Amino acid sequence: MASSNSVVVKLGGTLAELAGTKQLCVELPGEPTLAEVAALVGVAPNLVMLYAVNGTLRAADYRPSPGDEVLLIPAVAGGQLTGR
Amino acid sequence: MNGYAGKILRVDLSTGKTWTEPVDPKLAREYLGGRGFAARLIYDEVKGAEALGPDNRLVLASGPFAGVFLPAGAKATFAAKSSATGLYGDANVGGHLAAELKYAGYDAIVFQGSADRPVYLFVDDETVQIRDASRLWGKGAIEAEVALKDELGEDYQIATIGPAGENLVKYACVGHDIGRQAGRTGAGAVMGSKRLKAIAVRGSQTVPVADIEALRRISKEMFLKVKADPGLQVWHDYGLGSVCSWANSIGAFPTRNFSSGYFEGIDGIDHHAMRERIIVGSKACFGCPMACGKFSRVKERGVWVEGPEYETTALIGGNCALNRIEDVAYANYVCDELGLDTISAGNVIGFAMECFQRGVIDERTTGGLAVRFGDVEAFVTLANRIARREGIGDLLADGVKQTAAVWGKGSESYAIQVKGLEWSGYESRGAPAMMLAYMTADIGAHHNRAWAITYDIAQGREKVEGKAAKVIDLQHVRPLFDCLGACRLPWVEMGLDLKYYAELFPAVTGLDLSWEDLLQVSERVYNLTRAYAVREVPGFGRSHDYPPERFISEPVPDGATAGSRIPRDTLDALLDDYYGLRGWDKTGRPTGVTLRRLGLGDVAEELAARGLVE
Repeated sequence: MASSNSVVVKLGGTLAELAGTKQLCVELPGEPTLAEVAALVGVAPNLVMLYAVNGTLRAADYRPSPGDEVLLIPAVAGGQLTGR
Repeated sequence: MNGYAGKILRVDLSTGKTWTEPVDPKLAREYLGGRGFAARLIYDEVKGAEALGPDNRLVLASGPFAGVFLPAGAKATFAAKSSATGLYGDANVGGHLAAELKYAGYDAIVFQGSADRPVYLFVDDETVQIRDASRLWGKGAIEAEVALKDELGEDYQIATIGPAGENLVKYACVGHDIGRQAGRTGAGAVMGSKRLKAIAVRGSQTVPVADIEALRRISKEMFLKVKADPGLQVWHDYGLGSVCSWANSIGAFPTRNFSSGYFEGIDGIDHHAMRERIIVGSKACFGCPMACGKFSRVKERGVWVEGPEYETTALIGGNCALNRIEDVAYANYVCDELGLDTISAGNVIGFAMECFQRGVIDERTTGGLAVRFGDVEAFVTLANRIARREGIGDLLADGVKQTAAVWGKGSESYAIQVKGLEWSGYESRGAPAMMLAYMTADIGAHHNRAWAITYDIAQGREKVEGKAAKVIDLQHVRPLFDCLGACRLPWVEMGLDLKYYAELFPAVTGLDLSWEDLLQVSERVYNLTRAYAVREVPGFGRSHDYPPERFISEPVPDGATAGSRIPRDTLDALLDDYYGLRGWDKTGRPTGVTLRRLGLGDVAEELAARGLVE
């Protein structure tokens, strides 16, 4: 259940594999940047190529608002992050 | 044969004869198509020949997925003994050529010999003619394509070379679809050496498939998966240019002849700049829902160009320090029209700029031209001189390795290449797996065999263990797409599961090959091309696998990888691990046991008879 201080985070490709889910609701601790939101869901920020908030591309230091939909797009999606 | 047109078209440009041969089912099963067909044909038929002589072959080959309804059966391979490296070389191109070739009834065209005047090959189903191309000779690659389309009709798919190919620039490319290229390893020069200006193909036939219902079901699911991916809109809007900022942020963006991986001018050439200032539309290849190709207009120059995509922006932008997207796009247009591979051209000109800056060369060498980083006019002037082999361009046309050998004064250490092929768009001093991928790519320093840089980031940049195994895995998976005739980007960028391709293969071909079997085909091809290098290049082996000295001894000065370099003992450890896992000996040559395990017993015997393997 989304609280009033949460965002929806969607993960593309292998980032979903790293986070263990394609979409989740994240409670914001204060006013984190998008890079910090990525880290909150278990994704190293330097594996995220682009961030989008409500369909608009944003820089890693952008701070999403409660209720926003955050999309993390990987640098590459096809099976290159994990082992054999 | 399901999945195949069933014929190979042979063209002897010396005699003017053309004929067809049936596709051998054994060849299809053991090499699949595309790069696999090309590698076997070149291994068997090009022995000791000069790359730019009549005895070389130029192979244009599709694969079983090409022309079939799936995302995206669009890839054609151009291959030959490479003019850039002397090794097996190939490059693939999207667009619509591969599909049209299949519809015309051919899985591949193999050119041999050399015409006595400029010609083009005309193919309209069974009608095959070698036609005069004198009026096209000297025209730009796109200009010639447009001229042929005007003459023959829009429904012909056309591949052309520009002046660079005509003048045997060793990294000349083949253009297609008004702005796409089979860029690497100099297939354009091989075309030029045969005086083959263009190939025009139209077809009206179908490709038989084994199980149309299964194909429809699997393919539909793939399309829907791609369409539902939340990142699709980004690829639609920005294409591969969106990689630039990320590469810069992780210290991998080639800058000033790879002296750094961080470009301070990135904001002027990144995806935002592209979208806001030059992009006018998207362009897709045959059957592709991604449409990652961006079509751009440079108003101030009055030109249109497809791109620039990532590699071009990296090598022309960062590597030559051009910090305006309009300049990068204009230089991209010039290279496309001249028929120059933008990756090699960006390297060669970036190298010349560094040599000029260091005083290795001066205006006496350049014919009065100040060759400075950041100067688009200098870039364009040099590109034109290279394509026409004028002045300094005659030497630069042979690539950075040969140029450095002539200019000397230590410039060899920053001639950024492996095996004679200029390095593509990832500075890798902070990425051991990516570095190893470049070192061991069978065609020379190219990323498409194993793009391992995110693996370095995810697993630890300092870590060496496990990197060789991952590189080998990728060197089998990624080139497999080039055997199948499919674009790998729906997998690479959209994360489409590989299981779909495994299910597609029997549905299309009816052949009972599992995914593991297909990967073994790819491994077979990788070993075959390595064996070809061993046979064709005297002394070929480990010494050919090292990167330039800059990456070994010179720490990255700034950016996210500041201080990084990969010392020689680390490179040796990586190579030892890699050779061991591949079943190659310490000198980097496949052993007879390995070749036989992969069904290459005939190759093992030939190399053994020449004393090249045990």
